[in-house]
Amino acid sequence: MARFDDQLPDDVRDIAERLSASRATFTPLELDELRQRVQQRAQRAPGRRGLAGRMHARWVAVLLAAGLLLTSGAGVVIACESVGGGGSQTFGTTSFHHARDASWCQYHGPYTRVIHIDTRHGVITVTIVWDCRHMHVHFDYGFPFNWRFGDGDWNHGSDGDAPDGTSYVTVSADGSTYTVPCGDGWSGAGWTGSSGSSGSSDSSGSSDSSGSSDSSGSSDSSGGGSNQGGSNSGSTSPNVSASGNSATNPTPAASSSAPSIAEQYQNALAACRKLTSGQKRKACIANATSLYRQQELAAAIARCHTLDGKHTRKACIAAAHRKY
Amino acid sequence: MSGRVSGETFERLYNEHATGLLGFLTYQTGDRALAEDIVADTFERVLTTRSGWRGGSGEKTWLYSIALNRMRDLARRRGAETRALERTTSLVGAVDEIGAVADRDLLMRSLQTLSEEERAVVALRFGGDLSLGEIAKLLQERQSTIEGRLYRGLRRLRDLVD
Repeated sequence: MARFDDQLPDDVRDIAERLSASRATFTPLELDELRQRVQQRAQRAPGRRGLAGRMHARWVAVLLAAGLLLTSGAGVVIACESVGGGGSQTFGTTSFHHARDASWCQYHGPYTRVIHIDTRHGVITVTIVWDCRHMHVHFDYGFPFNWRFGDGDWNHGSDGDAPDGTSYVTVSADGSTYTVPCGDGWSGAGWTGSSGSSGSSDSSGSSDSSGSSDSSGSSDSSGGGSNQGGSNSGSTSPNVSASGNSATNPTPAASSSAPSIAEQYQNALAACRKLTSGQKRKACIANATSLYRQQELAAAIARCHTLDGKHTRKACIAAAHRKY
Repeated sequence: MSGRVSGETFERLYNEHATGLLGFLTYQTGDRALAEDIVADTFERVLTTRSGWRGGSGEKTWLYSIALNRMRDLARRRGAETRALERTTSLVGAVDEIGAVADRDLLMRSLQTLSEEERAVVALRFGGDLSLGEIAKLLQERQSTIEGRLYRGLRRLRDLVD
């Protein structure tokens, strides 16, 4: 055994020496910087817990995620059920799979969003597939219908790829129109610019420490209404509305009401601070911080992907990982 | 050592093993920045874990096992990110790739062509400076198995580099 530790066979000795000579090392400065980084991070870390602690943290995280969704003003389910001028048309079941902002998508991969729109005759199923670069929309409905991207031409087919800059899609069926604003991530090449600073409208998030990976359900504090403006002003709100008479509907202030990541974090912290139990308060703040850092990391990575050069992007992403 | 690691113990562990871990992880991942991140994560874990080293194996083996686990976790998470990157950079990738290949160090590139098992043994031995006995304990393999992997890995590397 010592033969291999101390005296390698002749035929591989040279390569072994090269490997030993080429091994990476820290300079004293790097070593010191890394030590400080570790110690700072360890001080911020909530600490490892036992099974009971983890279960508790998971529960707190679920509550926190629900709280974030309620305070974010950028909900999905309630927004989707908001009623437009048509009065009776509401979106029935809405299910979102990874309905995150573009930066989240960029970091974690594509998502598929499925929206069910109740009409007088049936249900229109709108499937939106976002691969972080292109948005493909597929419609499924057993009765005649038309649809169009933004203010473009009306289509009769069952699917299409959204052109850059598209901020909403309109479906017309049974004498009513249904507008599906698409938030950021929709605007093709433009998604990278708006995703980071404007914040994620879908404030569901995940937390490493809690294991909670996806929360659904939210409210829309801005109210519903049709999105007839069609402007893509960096709105991240994936509101979905039904509209029978667009002229009477208020325009949702999606872009102004959707809080930024930092604002969501501040809201969550404020909610945490109201908890009376010190332990719960600490866990709540830790989870809020974890969520915040993940969202900021996703946004930072999205910004990195806009840079030229693979090495630059990789360095940027590595720096983002270090920072968050 | 059991329970949370004291500041003094942390200092000692860090001074004795941080560079070795960096060497191992750089060879294993082929990415110096990533290796630094994993070293930081490993020592953060050392500071925050309550269980600490239980004395079942050497502290060096304990540290490297933390690093190995962290590396595997990151590899899983980064898989999704890499796939997304590949999709979004397909247009510029071809141009970048030429520069990247030219820049990459031959030894590091050759290491990445080894099987994961062989690379781990080579990286632990020559990057982390672990003895074969320590590597066997860490990877929970017989020492003769480790010797075989090391020899095969080195021979393959030699052929690639030469």
